[in-house]
Amino acid sequence: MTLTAKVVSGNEVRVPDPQAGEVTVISRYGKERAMLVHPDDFHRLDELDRMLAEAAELPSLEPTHEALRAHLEEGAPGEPITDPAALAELFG
Amino acid sequence: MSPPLGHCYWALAPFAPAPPFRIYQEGAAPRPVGSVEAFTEAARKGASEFVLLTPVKARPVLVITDVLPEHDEVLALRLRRFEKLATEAERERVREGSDPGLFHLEPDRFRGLPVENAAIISSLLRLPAAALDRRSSLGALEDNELRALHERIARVHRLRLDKLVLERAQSLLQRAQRKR
Repeated sequence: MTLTAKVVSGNEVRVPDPQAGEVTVISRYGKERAMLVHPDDFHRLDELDRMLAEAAELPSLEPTHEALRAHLEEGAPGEPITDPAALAELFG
Repeated sequence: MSPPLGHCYWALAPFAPAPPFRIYQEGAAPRPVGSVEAFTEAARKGASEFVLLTPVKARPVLVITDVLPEHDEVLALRLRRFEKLATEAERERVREGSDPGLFHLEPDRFRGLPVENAAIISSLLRLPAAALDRRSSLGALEDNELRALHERIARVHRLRLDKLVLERAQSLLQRAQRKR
């Protein structure tokens, strides 16, 4: 899931100064409620997330003219054997 | 009986039904139907199953999955004989792995095939296991070849595997974090 950044003015909230490489965990009733990360760390994580998504996307593979021809010709029926005598000889 | 994954076998492979569709009729000549829309209209009237006369061909195929036990089916690819490729240069491209749509089958490992062949990456077939003649394997791919083949199939069919890969990567990351 790609991260989205929600901007809140520094005047509206009071948060401790984030340090690079350090995450401040804000907990409530013993549970993790929010995490405060330094902008450098956030952008690094966001970049890693995007790179992972890009790496996971398979580049499409365009078939060559020869492969398309093989697909069409081998996928098209030829002359089926329908002669009863020939079928009797083959299958008894 | 050898496991089918990665092996080549003789099989009875159907061609995809195409218009004019020919419906089998008891005691009468097949009834041609020119388009799929006529079947849709019939289905809306409550009649949706018919016996269609579909051509089939006895041919070697390359099986690319194990037998799905719930359905007793496999996925397989049709083959292209090298002599049918347009030029010697094209044959060389396929041998080198430079044609992404044709996967070379090394003659040394596919001794049951009378001539050199390539698997057609885009020609995915779903076959009942009973349509494979598994009395003898005509040859088999190495495990690394099978992985490369699967990757090409996913790419040529533009299968969206990104979410799967991401979830797997995220789960591995979480596991690594828990170990710390």
